[in-house]
Amino acid sequence: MATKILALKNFVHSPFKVLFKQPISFNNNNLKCISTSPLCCVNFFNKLPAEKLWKSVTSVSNAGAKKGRGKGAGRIRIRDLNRGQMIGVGKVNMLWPGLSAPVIRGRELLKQQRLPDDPERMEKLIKLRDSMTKFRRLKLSPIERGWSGVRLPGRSLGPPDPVAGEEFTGFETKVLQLRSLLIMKGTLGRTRNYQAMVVTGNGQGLAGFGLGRAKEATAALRKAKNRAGKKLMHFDIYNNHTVYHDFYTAFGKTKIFVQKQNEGYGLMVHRAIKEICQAIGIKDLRAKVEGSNNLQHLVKAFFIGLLQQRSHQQLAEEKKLHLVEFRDENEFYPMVVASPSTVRTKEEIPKDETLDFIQYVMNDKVILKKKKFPPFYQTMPHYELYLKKFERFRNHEKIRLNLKVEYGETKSFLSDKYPDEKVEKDD
Amino acid sequence: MSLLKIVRINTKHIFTKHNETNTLYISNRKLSIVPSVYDQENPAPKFFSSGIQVLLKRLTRPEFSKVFRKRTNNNTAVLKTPVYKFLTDEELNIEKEKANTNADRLLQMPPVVKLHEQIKDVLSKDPALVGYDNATYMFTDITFGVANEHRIIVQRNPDGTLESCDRDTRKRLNQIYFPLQGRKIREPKVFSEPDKFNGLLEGEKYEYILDRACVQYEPDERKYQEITSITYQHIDLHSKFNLLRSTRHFGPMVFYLTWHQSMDRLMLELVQSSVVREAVLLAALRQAVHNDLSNGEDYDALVSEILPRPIQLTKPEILSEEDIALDTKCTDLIDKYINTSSSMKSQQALALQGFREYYQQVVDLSRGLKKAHEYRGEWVRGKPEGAGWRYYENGNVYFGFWRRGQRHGYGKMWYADGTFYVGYWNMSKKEGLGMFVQVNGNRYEGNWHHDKKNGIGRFYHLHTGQLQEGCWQDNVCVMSKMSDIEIRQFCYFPSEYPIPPETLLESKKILEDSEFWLKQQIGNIDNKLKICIDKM
Repeated sequence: MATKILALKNFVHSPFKVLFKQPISFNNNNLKCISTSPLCCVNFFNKLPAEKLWKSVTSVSNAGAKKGRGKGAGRIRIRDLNRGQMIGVGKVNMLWPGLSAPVIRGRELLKQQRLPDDPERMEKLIKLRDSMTKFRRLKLSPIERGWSGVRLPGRSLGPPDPVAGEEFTGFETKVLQLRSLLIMKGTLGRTRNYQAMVVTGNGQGLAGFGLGRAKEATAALRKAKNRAGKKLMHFDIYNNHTVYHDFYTAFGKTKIFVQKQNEGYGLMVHRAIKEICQAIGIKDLRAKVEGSNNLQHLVKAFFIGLLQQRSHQQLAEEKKLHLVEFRDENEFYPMVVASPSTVRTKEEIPKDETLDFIQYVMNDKVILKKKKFPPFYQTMPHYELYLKKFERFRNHEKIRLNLKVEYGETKSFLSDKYPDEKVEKDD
Repeated sequence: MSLLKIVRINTKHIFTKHNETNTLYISNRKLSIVPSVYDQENPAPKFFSSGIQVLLKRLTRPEFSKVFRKRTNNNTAVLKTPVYKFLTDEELNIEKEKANTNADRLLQMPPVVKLHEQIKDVLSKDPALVGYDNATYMFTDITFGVANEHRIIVQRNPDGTLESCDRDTRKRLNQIYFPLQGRKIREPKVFSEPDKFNGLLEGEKYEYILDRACVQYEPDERKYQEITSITYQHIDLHSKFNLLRSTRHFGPMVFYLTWHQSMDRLMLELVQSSVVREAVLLAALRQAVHNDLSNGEDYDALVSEILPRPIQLTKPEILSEEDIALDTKCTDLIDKYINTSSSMKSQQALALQGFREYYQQVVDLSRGLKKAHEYRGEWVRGKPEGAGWRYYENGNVYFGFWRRGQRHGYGKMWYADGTFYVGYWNMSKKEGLGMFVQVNGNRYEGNWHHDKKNGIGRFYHLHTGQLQEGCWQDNVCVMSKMSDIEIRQFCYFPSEYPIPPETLLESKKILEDSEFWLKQQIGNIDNKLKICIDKM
C-alpha cells in the first residue's frame, strides 16, 4: 500500500505534467493514440487528505474499541511517509542547482544533470517506514523495575512531599497496588477512577501506608504517598533486624502467621509484606498468608500485627516469669532478656497455663505445616537405577578436591608408575 | 591376598611421602624462637594434680560472653532461630548450672604430657619367611570398641620378623580404619610449610593454630609439642595473653611458661592490668611446680583465701574492707616475689608501684563514699542538731534541719526510689505542711501527720490533667472535689471530656460542713503552701 500512496504522491506533485500529457502527445508522430475523452484521474486517493486516509485504515469501531481491539502488538500505526524524503531528491537522481545542490561550487557554475541512480534508496525508505510501525515496550533498568516489568506495583516513588517545611529525608515510597475502579455517575455514566496503595518508610522503624483515589493514576499515587507520609508509625526492631516475637494477625478473611528469624535469613514473605518490611527496616522474617490474599487487607493485617507486638519486658511482666533466650550459635547459653519485678514460683503457676513461648505469643494459633511429598521422579523405577549407578561416584568430588590440594592436579598413586597414561584432564 | 598387597603398596607409598615431610623443622628464625618439648621429666603428674588444675582454671579467668561467643556456623546456610522460654527462678538456676557444666566442657584443657617413646618389640622371628616377598605386611585388629591406643597393629617384615608398628604408622592406620573428625591423613600445609604457619602467627590466629593442632596431633607427639611451644612463646613475646583468656588453651600455656621458668612477662601483664590476686595465683603455681620460692606457705595460705572469692572480670570501682585487706596482702607478697625470685625485677617493680598508686586512689574513693553515707553538718552534744546533710545506706538523702539526731523542722528528702518530699518534719516523721512528688510527677500538697497524708490537701494528677482537692486520712482520700487543670489538653493521657463546671450546688459548703474540715486548723492553706514551696 505504501508504494501505491507513493505513486499517488508523485502524481500529486506533478499534476501539471499529467494534465498536459495530452498536448505533448499531439506532437508525437503516432497520431492513432489520440483519445478524445477527457482524462479524469480522481479517486479517493487524491480526493481525501492523508489524515482521513490513515483514519480509514487505523480506526476501530466503537464496539471493537470497547473489546480492546486496535491495541497492543497487532495495532496498525500511522506512518509519516514524508520522513526520509527531501525536496529535490527523488526516484530519478537529478542534480538541481539551487534546490538539492549549491549553484556555484568553487568557481564552477553547476548545471542541472542526471546522476547515476541509487538502487538502495527505495529499500532504505521502506526500512525507515517499517521501523516506525514496530511496537516497543518501555524498558526499565533492573534497579527501577517493580515486581513485574514496568507495571507500577513494587516501584519506588521517592519520599513524600514536605509537610509544613518538614522534609522526609531518608524516606522511600513503594507502590503496593494501583488499580482502576469504575463508578457510575448520574450525569456522566460509568467513569474510571484510579486507586493506589503505597507504603513509605525510612528503614529505621518509621513507616506508614496510604490509600489515594483520583481520576488519574499519577494523582492517585501522589495522594497515597502524601497520605502515607502523614500517617507514620514507629516500630521497635529487635536487634535492628527482626520482630520481637512470632505473632498471628488477621484482618477480614486474611490471616498472617509471622515468624521471627535469626540474622541472615532474609525476607521470605509475600511481596507486599516484603516491601513493608524494607520500609520499616526489618531484615529477617518469615510470614505465611492464609485465607484471602486481598492486598489491602494483607497490609492492614500486617501493620496491626506489628503494632500489637509486646516487648520482652512486657511479656515477662505479663507472665511474671523470666524470659530466657537460647541461641544455637552461643551453645544454648541462657540469656535472660527480660525479668519481671516479681517472679512467680512453680507452685503459683496453674496447671493449665500455657508456658510454651511460641504458643503464648501466637495466641494458641498453629501454623499448618503441609506434609511434603517426594518429587515425582523419586517414585519412578529409573531413580533407583540412578542411585545404584552413581553410588560408587558419590565421594569422587571430595577426593578430587583433596588430590588437587595435595598434588595440584588429580592423580593417583599409579600415575607415578605410569606417567604416560593420563587418567583425566584437569578442568 | 592381592587386595592386601595393593593396600600395602599403597600405604608404603604414603609412608615414604609422609616421612619426608616429617623431617621438616619448624622454626621462626625472624623471632629466634626455638621450640622446647617435654622430653625430660614427665609433666603429667603435676599438670593433673588437683591443686594445679584449680589454679590454672582460675587463671583462665573465664568470661561467659567469650566462652559462649558466637562460633562459626557449622556449614549451615542460616543461623537457627533462637528459642525462648518462660522460666521460674529455680528453672533459671538449673539452666545456669547446665551452662556452667557446658562452660567446663568448652574450657577443658588439652593434656600436657611427656613426649612418647618409640615402640621396639619384636614379637617373633620366622626365618622360613625370608625372601617370601619383598614388601612389608601390615595387620590391624579392627575389632569394634577397642581404643585406638590399645589396638593391635603389627607388621611382618621381608626378613620374617613380626613386630609392632612405629607410632606414625599406627596413627595412620588408626585414621584409615577409624577416622577422627577433622584429622587429615596427610599433614595440613599450615603445619608442614613454615611460611603459612608464620603467617598465622603474625596474624595472631593463636586459638586457630592450637585448636587445629589438637585435632591433628596427639598430645604426646613431638610435632604437637613443637607447634604449641612456638605458639606459646610467640604469645609471650608479644604479651597477647588476652587473646587466649577464656579459652581452653590458656591453662596449658601458663603451665608451659611456668614449667620453663618464663612466666615473668605474664606476671608483669597481670600486675599492669591490676589483678594482683591472679599474680599471687601465678606465683603459687610456680611454687607448686618448682618449689623454688622462699616463703611457700604464705602463698598457699593466700590462695586458699583468694579462691572462694568471685572472679574479678572487671576492675572493681568500690571496695569493701575485706577486699582491701586481701589485696594489700597480695601486693605485699608480690613485692616480696619480685625482689627475691623475679627475672624482670625493674619492670615489675615499676608496674607494682603504678598499681599501688592506682589502688590507693580506689581505696580513698570507696572509703570516702562510705564516709559520705554518714552525717555532715552541725552537731550538738554528739548528735546532729541544726542544718545538715545525711546520706543513708539505702540511698536516701536528707538535707534540712536536725534535732537530737532526728529530722526535725523544715527539710527535704530525696528517696532512693525517685520520690521526693519537701516540708516539715517532726522527730523524723512528716508532720505539718509538705509536698510529696511521685516518680511519675504526680504530687500531693497539703497537711501531713504521722508520716501520712492527713488533713486538707490537693493532689495533682499531672498525667491526666486533674486536680483533686479534699481531705485525707491516713493516706486515704475521704472526700474530695475533682476539677480540670488548665494544662489538661497537653497531658500525656488527657481525660476524654472536661469536667463540667460546678454541677453540684454548694459543693464548697458540703466540704466545709464535713467534720474533717472542721477538725483542721483554720488558716490560709494556699499562702502557707506558697511559703513552703518558695523556701525550696
